[in-house]
Amino acid sequence: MRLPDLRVAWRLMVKEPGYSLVAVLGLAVGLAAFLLLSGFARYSWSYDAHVPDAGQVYVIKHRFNVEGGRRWRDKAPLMLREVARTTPGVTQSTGYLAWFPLNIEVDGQVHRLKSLTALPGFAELMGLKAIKGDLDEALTRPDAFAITESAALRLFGTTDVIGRAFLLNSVETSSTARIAAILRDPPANTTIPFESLNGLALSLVPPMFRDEALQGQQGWPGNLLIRIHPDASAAAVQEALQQFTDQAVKRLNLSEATMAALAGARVMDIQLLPLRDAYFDGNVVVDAQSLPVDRGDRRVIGGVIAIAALILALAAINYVNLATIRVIRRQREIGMRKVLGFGNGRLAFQFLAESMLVALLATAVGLLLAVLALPLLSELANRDLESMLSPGNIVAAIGIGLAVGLLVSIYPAWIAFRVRPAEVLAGRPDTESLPARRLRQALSVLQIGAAMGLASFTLAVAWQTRFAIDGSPGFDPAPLLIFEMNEGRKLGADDTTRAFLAELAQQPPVAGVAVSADAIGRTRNPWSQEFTKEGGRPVTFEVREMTTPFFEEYGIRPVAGRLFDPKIDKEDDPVPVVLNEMAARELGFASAHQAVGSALRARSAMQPQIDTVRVIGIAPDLRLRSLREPPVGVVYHLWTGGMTVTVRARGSVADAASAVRNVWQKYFPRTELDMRPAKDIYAANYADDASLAKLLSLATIVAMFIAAIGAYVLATDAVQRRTREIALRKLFGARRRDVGRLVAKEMGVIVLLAAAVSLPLAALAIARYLAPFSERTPGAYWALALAGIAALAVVAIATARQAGVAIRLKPATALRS
Amino acid sequence: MLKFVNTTKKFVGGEVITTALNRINLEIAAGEYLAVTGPSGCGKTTLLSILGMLDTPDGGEYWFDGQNVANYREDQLNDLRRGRIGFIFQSFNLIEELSVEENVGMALEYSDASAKERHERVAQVLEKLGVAHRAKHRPSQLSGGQQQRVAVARALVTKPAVLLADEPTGNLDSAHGEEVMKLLEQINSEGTTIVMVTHSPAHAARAKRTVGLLDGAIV
Repeated sequence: MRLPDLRVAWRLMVKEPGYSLVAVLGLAVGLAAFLLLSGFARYSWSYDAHVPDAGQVYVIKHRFNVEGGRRWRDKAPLMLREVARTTPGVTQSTGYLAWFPLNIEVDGQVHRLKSLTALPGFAELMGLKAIKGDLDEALTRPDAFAITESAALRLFGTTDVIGRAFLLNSVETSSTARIAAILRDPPANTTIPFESLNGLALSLVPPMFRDEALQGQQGWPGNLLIRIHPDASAAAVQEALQQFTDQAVKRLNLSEATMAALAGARVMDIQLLPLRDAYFDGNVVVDAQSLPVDRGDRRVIGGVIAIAALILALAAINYVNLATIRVIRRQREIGMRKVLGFGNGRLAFQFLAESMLVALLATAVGLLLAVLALPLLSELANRDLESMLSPGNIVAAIGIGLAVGLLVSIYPAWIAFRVRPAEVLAGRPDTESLPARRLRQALSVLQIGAAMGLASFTLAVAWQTRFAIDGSPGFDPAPLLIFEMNEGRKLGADDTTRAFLAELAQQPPVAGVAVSADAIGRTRNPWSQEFTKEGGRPVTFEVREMTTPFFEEYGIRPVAGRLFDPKIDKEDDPVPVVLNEMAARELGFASAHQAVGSALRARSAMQPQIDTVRVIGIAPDLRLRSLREPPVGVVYHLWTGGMTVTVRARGSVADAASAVRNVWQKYFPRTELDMRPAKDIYAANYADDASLAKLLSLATIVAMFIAAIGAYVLATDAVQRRTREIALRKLFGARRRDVGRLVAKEMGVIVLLAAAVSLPLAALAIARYLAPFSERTPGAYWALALAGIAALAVVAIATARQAGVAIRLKPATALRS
Repeated sequence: MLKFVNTTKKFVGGEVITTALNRINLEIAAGEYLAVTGPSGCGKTTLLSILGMLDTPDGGEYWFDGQNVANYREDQLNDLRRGRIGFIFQSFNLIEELSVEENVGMALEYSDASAKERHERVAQVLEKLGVAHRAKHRPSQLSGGQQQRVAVARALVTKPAVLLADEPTGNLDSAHGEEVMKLLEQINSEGTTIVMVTHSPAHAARAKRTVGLLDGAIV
């Protein structure tokens, strides 16, 4: 590429600012979207990549098949840490616990820290190093802990806090500890996020917990990580841990009936999951001890990569179309250059220079757009994506821009090679074959089709998400507030909690208070039991525990019989139970009314005795969890051991929230209150769907913009190609509307073809997306029609200018040239 | 039938103003066969454009069939022109994507004729001009002479009162040029007014009257 070529390219750009703007902006928007989306995909694939030699690190998972819904947890019995340590092939065995969320008091203010308790060897396996202080001291002394750089800045405004002591409290115990180390922040894309790290030696950790963490005698689960030697087999290590577990569970002395119910399955399954795959392991139970970790879906990330590549391809197609139209317009100049001795090599360099200049400018603008849009993408994706703008990624972006510039110069250059000077200079242009033109038109169909398909899928996802969040759960969540009691603060076993709840219930803005094991819409600790009616077969149902006012505070009315009533029922009474409608049906009752008053035999897998319970009423089928999970039979029973408190506001929810905060502060001044509206519990189930819908919206806007440019280019091409025909038609009396109709017809065919190609595929994608939902928005497929109309409108707007050019065309001038 | 009265047309290109027609006075009677000659850039094609109501004069009057159309809007000119003026061009201006009969039929698309009537008229005119056997062919499959015959057929299919021909033989060899000239004579003999722009003195001599143009003025 020579300097004069670049100079000519620059002059051409300046000469036609409209063309240049469309060419640069179209490519820039495509590049920006590609950089952002592919960067997001790369970010998602790089979860936990910061851990040294992360490919050899595994998470030990377990699944207790006797109860708990046979669902996997990303934890395992702590005894396996020591077992793994002595298993051949395992080079490191460690883990962490989130049992003791630390609150730190700074200047009289209590702040909750995202804290982890490190098991021995955790810092080594994770490659943690102190940037100030001594990490070893922080994790081994009873009065020390470590904090991350950003947490130090957030709390103290400086990282110069080594040695400073603060009051810490956790699980209602307080002690003073000093900061012994400052750690670099873990990257945002980790499944093990933390703000502070302490060892088991910290005085706040109760001795019983410390012993269990180290020895695992009780079988409590914790987050375990092992590193396996590259030459060792992960399958063999998993088998060794499984064999140990199979022996260990014999101590549970499970009944014959329980073992029979397993139907050949193991009591507990053990699995090793590569740490690098942990981000995509979304099918694990999220319980109260789980870290607040986002999970991703490989298919979604794969889709994001595909959309990123598609958008870049669409933008590149635009440029190729634009450049080709310009070659057709410039054929006299090209013919003249050939006459003057330009070979194909020189011509190729000329076109390369032009497209490289456009690509360079587009890359610069694209990078700028990406920088500006990154905060928006972070918000839409609900991830901290700041690290995407690393120097390496910027260099890669420039490389991609130049590669695109090289690729898109090929076709216009080839068209230029075909220009025959004698023909062109004699006024007989012949530049692009019909198949080549059809190919370009097909690519434009692809552009518009992609935008249309993407728009319909986006609308369907957004509508389904809104439908799921707004759908009635079977009660009105608007006046309800939910918060969790602290560990150890169970209503049935703690006088302070009882006094707190009693005082809370007396507050004027509070209409009522209920306690349950979990909130409706969430299942953090799935618990099930087997129930049998007289003469019936045993059926396993999910068990939900609550206090007597629960149904009243939720405003739930019985379908048959009655629900729990504080005036009639006694707290913790094991006999009365309420079934949901599905449970009544599954037990074989002909109607809800028939079930009322019947006795059921209840058997827990872990306890040999059989209890008899009595059905006092049937509750409606509430939406207990995400719409992705099928509704299940539920048995409600009374228990004061729950930690989830529901407050019903009498009038203003804000006033009720304020009353809760005041009473909380009075009883638990050293711990932070985490309260949310009941509706948020449902919304949390669809956070990823909402993020996906927002991401797709961004991609759709970009795709629509590119399609608009594509339509504009196509219309320009059509009007340019049909100038002579339009002029002739005007000669023969075509009116303005006839000419407008001509252009509209050509573009309309393109939109129809695009719809025919893309909408069936979009319908399939929508069907696949909706398939896992037990209830679906009735309007999902209207998205196809709406997207079609939107694409038509975008094409119409983009085509309007060229239609105007055609309408205003002067036949005399057109036919003369 | 057609009359210019002090008709002027100027073109502005940047800071340069070119006077294409300078106070032209010219009257063309119905059934006349007029040849307009002159060197390149003298204003011949501009004169033809205004005659065909594809352009409007900047000054003076242009009377078409008893109406001064100098200040008519584009849609008014369109309505007036439709079916009353036929055009023949040097470069034929046939549409390559359309067949011969579609090219000819295009001239009737905006008329009131029914589809059947259009089809019949196209067939008749192609037959008359001896290209009926090429009806399904594309223009590029025809010789230059045949292409110009198709172009003439397209001009005649609306049965216009006036036929404007811009260098109709300019792209043809002498034999094919002669064919076209004979065709024009025949058309004129059937009552159609013809205005032909040509460089060729021999072809101009075949017209009933010749007008010379130089620097936008009649000489």
